[in-house]
Amino acid sequence: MAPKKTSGSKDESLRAWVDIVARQYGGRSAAVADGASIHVSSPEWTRLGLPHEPFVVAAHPKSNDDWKYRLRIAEQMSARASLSRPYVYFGTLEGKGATTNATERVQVLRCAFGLALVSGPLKLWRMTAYHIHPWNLMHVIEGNDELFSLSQLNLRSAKFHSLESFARRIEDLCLFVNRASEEFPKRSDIQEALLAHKDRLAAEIAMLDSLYFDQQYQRGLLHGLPSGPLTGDGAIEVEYRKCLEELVQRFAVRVQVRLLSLGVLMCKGKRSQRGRDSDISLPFVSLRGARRIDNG
Amino acid sequence: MAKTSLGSPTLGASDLPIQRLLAYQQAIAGLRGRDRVTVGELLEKLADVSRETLSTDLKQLAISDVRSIDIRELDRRARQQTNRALSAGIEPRVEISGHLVAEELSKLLLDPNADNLSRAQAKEGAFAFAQVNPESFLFALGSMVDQLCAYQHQVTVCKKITEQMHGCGMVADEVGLGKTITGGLVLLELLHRNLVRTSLILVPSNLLNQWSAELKDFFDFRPVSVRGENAASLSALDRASHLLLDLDKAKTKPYRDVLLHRTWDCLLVDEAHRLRNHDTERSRFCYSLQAKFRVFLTATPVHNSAFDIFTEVTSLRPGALGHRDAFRDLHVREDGSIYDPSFLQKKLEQTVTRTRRGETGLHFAERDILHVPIKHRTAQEKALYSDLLHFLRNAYRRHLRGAVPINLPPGTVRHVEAFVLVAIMVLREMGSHPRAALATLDTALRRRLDKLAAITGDYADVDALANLVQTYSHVEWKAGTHGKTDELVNQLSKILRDSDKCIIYTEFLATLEALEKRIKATLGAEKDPSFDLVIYKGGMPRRLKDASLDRFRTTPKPCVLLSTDCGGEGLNLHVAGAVVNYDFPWNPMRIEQRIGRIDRIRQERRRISIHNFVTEGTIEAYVYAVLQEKLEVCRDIIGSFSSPITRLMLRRPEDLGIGEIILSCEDDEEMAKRFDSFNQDIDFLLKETESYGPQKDVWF
Repeated sequence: MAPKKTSGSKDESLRAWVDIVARQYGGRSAAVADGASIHVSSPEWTRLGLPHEPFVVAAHPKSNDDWKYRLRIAEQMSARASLSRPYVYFGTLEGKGATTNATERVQVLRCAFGLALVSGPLKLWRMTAYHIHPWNLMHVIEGNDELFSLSQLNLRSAKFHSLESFARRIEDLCLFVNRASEEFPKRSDIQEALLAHKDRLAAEIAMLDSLYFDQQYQRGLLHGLPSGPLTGDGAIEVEYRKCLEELVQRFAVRVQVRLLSLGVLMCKGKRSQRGRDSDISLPFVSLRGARRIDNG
Repeated sequence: MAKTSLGSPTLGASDLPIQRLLAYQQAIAGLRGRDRVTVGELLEKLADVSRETLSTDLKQLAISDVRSIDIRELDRRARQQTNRALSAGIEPRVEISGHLVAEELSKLLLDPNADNLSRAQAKEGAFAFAQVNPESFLFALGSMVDQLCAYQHQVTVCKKITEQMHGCGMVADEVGLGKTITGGLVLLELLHRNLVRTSLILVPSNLLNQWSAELKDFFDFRPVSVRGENAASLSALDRASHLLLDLDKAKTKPYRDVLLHRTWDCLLVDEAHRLRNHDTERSRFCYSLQAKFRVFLTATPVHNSAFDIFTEVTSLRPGALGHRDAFRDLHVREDGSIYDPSFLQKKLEQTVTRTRRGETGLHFAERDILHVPIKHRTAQEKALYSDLLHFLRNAYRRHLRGAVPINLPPGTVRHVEAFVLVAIMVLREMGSHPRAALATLDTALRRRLDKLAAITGDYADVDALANLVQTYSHVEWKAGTHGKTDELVNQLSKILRDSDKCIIYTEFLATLEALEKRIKATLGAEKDPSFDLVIYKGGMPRRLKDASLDRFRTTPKPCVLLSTDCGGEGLNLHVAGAVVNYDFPWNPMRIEQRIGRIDRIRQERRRISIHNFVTEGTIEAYVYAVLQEKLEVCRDIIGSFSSPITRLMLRRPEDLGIGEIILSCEDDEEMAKRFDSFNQDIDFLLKETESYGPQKDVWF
């Protein structure tokens, strides 16, 4: 199973999300020509003021009615889920039969996180990191895996005994997250955004100058209230500096790390050695070709 | 990191450190006004720079003549380098350290829950959805309460301000489109992106409670609202992360000092047209606040001239429209019109966003505009109007036309102009209620005449005024003595039958008091009063104002809200279905604001009615009838300087020469003729306006 990138088409992502919403509220969804239809009739749904009859959440809304359901089910609910705290879960994946020579019981620490460029147009980048015990290997993929689409994920046997030993592994995972966030700005799309950002800031500074100075730098005016005891040129200079500082702060670029979930999973894993690299295969993801991060 | 294309090619490969560049700029600022300076003079202004360093730096800045330095060239190059250095200095800052991630993850492990798997799936799925649909995704929507969601136009505006405008923009949507929610969305979005940790929300005092309630009800966001001046209040001002304050209170001491001392992440100002005059303390105070993100909300950014929007935009993004003089030279003709509206609008689009009702795809109530001519005036009214006009014309002629020769010292013309302004006000008040006119006669007009008399030594007008006031001040203006009030009382039951709740607006406090007395008398005569009367006026304490609005909104009985223009802005009064314009503000923006109280996104009625009461045979009939009858026509183009009629309507009466027409005429016949000619000019402009169809989108 190759690492699966999350970013599909808009239609696919909408259908996937509507399906999650439907299941969360005990209903069902189906793909339709322009989006997904959703049919839920649970009391929680009623409390939200949403109809019991099936309705369509449009992938490309045109009318105001289209937008009404689209914003409510897709944008608002996904934003709410995004703002919720990260979740931790424990589970076992019961494969059929006993372990073979090729497979081994492993404990996987799975950390889903996102990186977000939040200054200017929103840019998001989704990653999933794995720490596999006892092989002591860490890998990271861009995007999602297929964990949540596996039917044999069993939460009833979710009991985990060696919690303490994870402290070290969590530290290693954090290094992962840090490294990923350092690499994030090097992506070409982020570089492009940064360049646009810089050009915009330069233009804004030039505009600010045009307000305070003419060609001869002699036409300064105080636009606000005098600051402290200063008057005349001194006060104008202070005001200009204040505006300049605001401007530079406004255009400061921020990258956020958003933790999504942390899973502790017991499952069978398969490893084969190829020179220095290992091909790792877990029931929900193949880490062949995935980036390996050496701990320490 | 790649460098930007900024900067002169003559500059050296390695640039000066930014701190030194800023020091040069500061030194140059201290030498402004000079053409050239010497190294010695420059060194005096630079505390930490040696002669040797200065010489090296000047070479770095490609200044070859170091004996006599061209200060403008030095400034230009230092600024170029500073700009380049500042913009190249943008490096992404990662906001969470490995240590914090570890802490977060460790906390998670302590909180296992069987249901977490589906929640984790939802959280991951939400991120995936947002990643593919960033153009419509807003974190802020997640803060809205379950049963509510924003409208699409609000999401679009919020995205535009947070992303394209980098958190500095004006929401100038038409009235009733939910600007409070849009403003809240912008603020919450910046908060959820961790770009904002402190915010200052400034609103007119009468909207404080409404803002507080809406932020709580829609977003569960509760900024601290401070009203007192004791130590605890001032401490809250100093420490609260999010503050909601009365704009006018904030600009005065001691609030001002505390607020100016702090650094805010976001400043949000509602009814931002109040900042349109750059000379006011209000506008200067907002400009001086240190806030990196600024969001202004107003449906009517332009009230008097194109400079209104210049001031507002400059406060949002200093320099976005250049220097004031340059703005005038580039955009504004001598008559106040704009050279090229679409060119200016293009510039404004980077700072101002305006959504029109028609663009939202939402259904709004139909407006029924009803003209209510007051034909019947009692003999007493007619006598007062005639005596008043006669008196004002006489006074005007004596002082301005020189019927009594006077040698006016310099500055006296301003007294005469001021007299004309007050005279127009009195005549407008006469169209509203005699009590309003008499109150002004006895105060403002008397003061004006006293000043003129002190200059001329002629007290004849002062005495005549005293006689006039004495003659009419005893009149009680009961039922049957004032045609306009009688008509209002007669029509009220019908208006309430159709609309259940209605708002009566008047510009004048004296009129409000007279109407209150009259309506109460009518209700008192009924056994079981058929409706409630609620008063809303400027001087009331805030808690009484809030109680009035509460009662108006919640009473199951039909209800009349009698309000001055302080209730004509910002309030959500869509429970009402009718607005009565008992009199007219000159400025059509204020009419639009009044109607906007009921013509809102949440108005459930299909039709709403606007009743315009106009007294015939008065200045109101001559001027307002023409202007206000066209209000509906003008609504689409209000604020548009591409429209001659709007340009005309936005001017003040004195600019239009209305005072001159009224006061210089010999009799009513001449006045009628001159107003006819004036109206023809307006009709001509209206026809011209019709040809502006394709430019209707040029809205500013």
